[in-house]
Amino acid sequence: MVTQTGAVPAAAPIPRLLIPELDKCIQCGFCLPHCPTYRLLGVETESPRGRIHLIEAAAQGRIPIDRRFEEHMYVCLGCRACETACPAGVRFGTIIEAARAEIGPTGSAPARRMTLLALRHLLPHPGRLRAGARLLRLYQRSGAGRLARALHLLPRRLAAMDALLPPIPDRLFAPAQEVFPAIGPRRARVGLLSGCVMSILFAGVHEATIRVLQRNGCEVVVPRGQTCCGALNVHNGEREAARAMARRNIDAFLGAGVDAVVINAAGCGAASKEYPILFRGGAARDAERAARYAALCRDVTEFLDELGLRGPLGEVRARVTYQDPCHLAHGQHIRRQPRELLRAIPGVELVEMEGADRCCGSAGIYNLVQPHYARQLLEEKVTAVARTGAAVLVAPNPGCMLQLAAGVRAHGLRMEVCHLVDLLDRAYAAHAAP
Amino acid sequence: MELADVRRHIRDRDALARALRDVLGPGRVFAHPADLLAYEYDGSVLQAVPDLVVFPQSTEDVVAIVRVASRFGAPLVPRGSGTGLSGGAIAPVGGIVVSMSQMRRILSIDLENRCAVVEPGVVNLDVTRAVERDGYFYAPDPSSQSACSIGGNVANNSGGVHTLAYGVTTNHVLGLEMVLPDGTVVQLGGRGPDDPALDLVGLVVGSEGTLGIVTKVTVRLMRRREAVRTMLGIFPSIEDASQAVADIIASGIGPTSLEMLDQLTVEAVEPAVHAGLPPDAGAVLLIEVEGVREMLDRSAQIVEDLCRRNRAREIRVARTEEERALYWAARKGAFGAMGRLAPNYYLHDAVVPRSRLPQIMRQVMEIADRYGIRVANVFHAGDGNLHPLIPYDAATPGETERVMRASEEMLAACVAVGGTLSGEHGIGFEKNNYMPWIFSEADLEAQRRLKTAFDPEDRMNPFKVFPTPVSCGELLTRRPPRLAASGLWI
Amino acid sequence: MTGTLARRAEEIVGAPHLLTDGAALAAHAIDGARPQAVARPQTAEETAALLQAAGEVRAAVFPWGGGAHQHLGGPPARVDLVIETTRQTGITDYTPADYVVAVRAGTPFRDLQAALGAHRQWLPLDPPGAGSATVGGLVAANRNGPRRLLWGSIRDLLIGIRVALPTGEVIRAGGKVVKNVAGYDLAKLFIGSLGAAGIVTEATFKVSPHPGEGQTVLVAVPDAAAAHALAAAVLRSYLLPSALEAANPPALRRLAAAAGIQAPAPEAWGVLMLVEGLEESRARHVNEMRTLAGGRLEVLDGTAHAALWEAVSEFPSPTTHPGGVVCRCGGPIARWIEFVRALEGAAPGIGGPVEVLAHAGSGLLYAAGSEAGAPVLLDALGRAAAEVGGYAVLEAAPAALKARLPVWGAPPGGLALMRRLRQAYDPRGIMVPGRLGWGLS
Repeated sequence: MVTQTGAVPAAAPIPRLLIPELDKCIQCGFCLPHCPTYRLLGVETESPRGRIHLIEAAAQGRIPIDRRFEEHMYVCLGCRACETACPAGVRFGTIIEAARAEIGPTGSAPARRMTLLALRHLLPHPGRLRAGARLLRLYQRSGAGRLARALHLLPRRLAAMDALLPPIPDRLFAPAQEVFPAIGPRRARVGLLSGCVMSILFAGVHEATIRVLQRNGCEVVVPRGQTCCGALNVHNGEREAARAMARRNIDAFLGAGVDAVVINAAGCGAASKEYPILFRGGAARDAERAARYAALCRDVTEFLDELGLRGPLGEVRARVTYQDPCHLAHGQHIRRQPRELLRAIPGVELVEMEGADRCCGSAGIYNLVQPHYARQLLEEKVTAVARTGAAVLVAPNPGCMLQLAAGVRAHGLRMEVCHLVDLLDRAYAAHAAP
Repeated sequence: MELADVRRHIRDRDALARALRDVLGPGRVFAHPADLLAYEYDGSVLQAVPDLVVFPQSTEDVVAIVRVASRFGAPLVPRGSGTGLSGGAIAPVGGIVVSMSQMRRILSIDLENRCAVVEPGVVNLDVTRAVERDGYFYAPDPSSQSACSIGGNVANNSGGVHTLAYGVTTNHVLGLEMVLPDGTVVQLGGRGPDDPALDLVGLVVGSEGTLGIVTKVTVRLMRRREAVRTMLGIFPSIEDASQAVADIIASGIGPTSLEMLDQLTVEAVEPAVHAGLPPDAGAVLLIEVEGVREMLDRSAQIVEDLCRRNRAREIRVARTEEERALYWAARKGAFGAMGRLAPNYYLHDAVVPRSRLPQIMRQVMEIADRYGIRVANVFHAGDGNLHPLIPYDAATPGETERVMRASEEMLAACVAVGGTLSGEHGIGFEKNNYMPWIFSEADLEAQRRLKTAFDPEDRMNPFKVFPTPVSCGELLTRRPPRLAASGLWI
Repeated sequence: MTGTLARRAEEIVGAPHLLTDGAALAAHAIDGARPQAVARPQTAEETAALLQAAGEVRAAVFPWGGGAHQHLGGPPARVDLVIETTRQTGITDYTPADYVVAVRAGTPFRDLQAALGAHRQWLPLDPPGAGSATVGGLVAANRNGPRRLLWGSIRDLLIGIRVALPTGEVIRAGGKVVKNVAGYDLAKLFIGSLGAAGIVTEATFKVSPHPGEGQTVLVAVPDAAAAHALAAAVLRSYLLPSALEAANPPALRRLAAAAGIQAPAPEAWGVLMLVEGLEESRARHVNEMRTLAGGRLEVLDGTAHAALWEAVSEFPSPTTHPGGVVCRCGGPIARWIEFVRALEGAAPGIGGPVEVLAHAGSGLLYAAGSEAGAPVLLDALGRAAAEVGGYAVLEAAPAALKARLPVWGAPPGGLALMRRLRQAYDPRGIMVPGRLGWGLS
């Protein structure tokens, strides 16, 4: 046995953390150059290989789960670019989520309490979310926001959040009907996951998604019983709450008798498709239903590509660049479909940016937890975006849209940030009323 | 003797850490146990925890580190991306790991004179990426090129899949800046070809970080070839494919790559890559020819004729860049796919004279049979560089030992036909005790004189390259070696 | 040298192989300095024993192969014992299918090529002195020719070496396989060090299939700038010539005469491209060169072609410039033109004509002039070398002149390390005293 220096403190092994995914890592280091935080910091501890090694060491009891360990686990964006790079097929997302489940949310005690509050008591309840959004809207419009900013009343993290948040729109997504009929012959009956952030900040995207699906012969169901997908809970070590939320969604959609669950937020899609992992080792019924549900889940771009886009599309004349949301490209291996959909729109000129599949720094609530690194990544991203000379930046995920819009704003670029379905919707509209 | 007996005890580690923080700042010295654990491994199967890890960002930082380390008598272990396969970047007797990962700037590119000056932490592929738009490339291309660093390449004299035509790292390094163990900065080479001075650059390349710390590298850039033709030959046996390799080389068309996969490898890789390789092929040969466009049709025809003459049942030519990428994916993905055969594998890197390939393959198979194990083979047939790869299950009691013994016998067989211990992975702390197989005591003593001239106190990467009283067995990872020394690099 | 050493040497090599007669000693004079004895060992072990014996009495030892490159280096401080390798001949290991050959150091380079040629293979080197050089001498002197552009130099082709060390051991480094990272690449220590670290007794090379007949494309251009521009254009293209030379008017006249062709315009510079390989490839090279050169070129085959490239190879040999001096300059690939400009600037001081031949794709340039102009010539080249970050050395010159001139030019980086290496391998300082630059020997 090797003599240990640096007085390695003994810690209790954590057998449940010795998950099978760990075994696949061969420590080849191919992930390093693909990891945004390794690129930024150049240290092994902020790389996928290093984190896996530390998680294994913690599982074996070679190191305790302490502040330092927590830091390494939460500097990770969870972007999963390493999964794309890994020749051995290691599912890093699963590993880091397991480690975070041992830690719980990160940050100072008050920050932790706030995160927990949100994760446990806000996200699972659409009603509370909407109420909160309305309050926030009031804060933004009453002038209190401006006042708070002017007086530097907000704590640092809240200030970051404040800078990032777009004005809460007038309209939240609260459709009057549960079912939207197909236009033309019905090709499929699909469910739409409305989620948390999307419903509040991007009601327009949901409406566009429904219209595009309808025009493609889909009957769209928006089950009332659904809730947030729980991705943020999983990413921040709150698995129990996540399981409860997953069960609600599984029940709502399996009960709705749909051919597919269409998801227009990449993070929600990846999390939904991974419900089976969330329920691993649990009750057989949960596992079986999670597997059935996951098999139905489709990102909207993936779904439209599989279904085959129905015309007629009008012209949208624009130079467009496409940001691969991490949880679409790395989490769901969806890269080709969105690009082909964009190319299908007459008038769209698709220009690739450098490192399109590199994280923009949003990464769920990362930009709130690690604003410093998030800002550096965003800087890099906006520079790449600007170089394309595009007028439209497409990023089919709410976190990316918020982060990129903030970046574009800060740089004073004249560039629209939108979802892919926004452009499709516009193209259909353009044909209807040229 | 055990490693614990030879560990270099640092008198006062905390004082050393403080002294280093004074010169580097607090964030660039790692001393926390968790942080140190992240530097106990590299790409090999060996592990050892260092005393400290430091992150220089300039030559001056390196000088300061070396000076401080010297005061405390602490060993220094330079580290690039940590993708090496022989334990070169770990600290078996303790000391300071000097991570070059924050020295990663490309300092200058001079296309007219076909060279670039880069810091050692620059990733190999990034050099090519920086110049490919202008039609140039950096030739050595180890399979780890997307991750490995130029500094690591210099240390290991790395090869690649185009070594056959372009040579290895030593043929592409023009000059070096290096910090010696006494803190002196020297500029070596870089004055043009046939420099009348002693060839210190040639001596430092491949010295595995045992002579000093390289802080700048002047690399040669090459003009991209006009066109490339990539072909797959499907053969009934390794013998036939080997003869085709011999004939293709003899034809004088100068292929840039001749890579071979045997049947077991094809069996593993095909389900992963879907390159359309027939599972019953005895051997698959990947052939690449580059040059001016006019020459390629003719070269391809020659290759095809020679393959057919050696009973190739099929020859495929990549028609598109995608197809070419697919052929290469089959070659480069071979090792990742080995996970499909068994949970673990062990890999060797040996070289034999090219004409001995068929014979050594038979011997390798015979050894495998005797030990009751399977062997997959992927190798640089054009160079005689073979990588016998043994899939196994470490959970089976005694299996690991059996595999290690069989590997050792295979390596011995290669040496017996005039081969060598390593073609590209390095000696490090993995094969250093095999060195007497190929070198006499006088040979090794002559090499030690070089070491002593650079590093009289033996503080640079100690316990590497030369035989030691302790074997690497002690440093085998605590967990069973899974995909041991995975050969994604080869 | 003491009588003890002579007796010891005689014991080692046998009386017939220890030469002390005046004619033999005169024939082995180095820059005019006669040795006291010439020993001709038959084996590496004998060579090592001689070195050991020499070490004991601190005799000055000079290795000698074919004597083709004894003009290189500073004037010897003293010469006691010449150790000649010419009895150590023959190929020791050659399997044609391996494309590797191991050969004893005293084997004439010509003989090696002939043996390889029987299998349509060759060691792709075209050094000066090829007619008389031994393999060991080429390695120790690091002599390369124009084909290095495509085929590389000794440094790229030597994969293994056997050496008798000044301390009396025989060692091997490298091996006989083309890829090898086991241990230090010690062979590099002996390439070009003129025997300062030991006497090469055997060398192992990568060899290649012979490319067959080649062709020369010769383009006459008005001046150095035009030659430089054309060479640069070739290097930017996709062409892969085996060699690419630029010759100033007097050098071009010499080469043309050697090839038996009419020199182009008397004051023209020449760009010479050597193309080998498949016919289709050669045709493409000729055609594209025609485009790059604006239509005017000459293509040579057969004996004219062969004679031309032999003359290019032999350009640096002292026999090519009897009584004159030859300098070698190295630097970044495209900056050979700076050496030419320096020479133009110094022309009045140099006086007579200077012949210039540049390996235009490799960053090497040779300049040959008269003895009288040598100090100014060397000074000008030295300045240019400092300018471009290269080097300039005096290769061939009358012995008396060498003693007065800075033969080796500016010191290289790492000189202190080189001294330590010399000390490590030759602690008694017996090898080639005075030969290496900057006090290294």
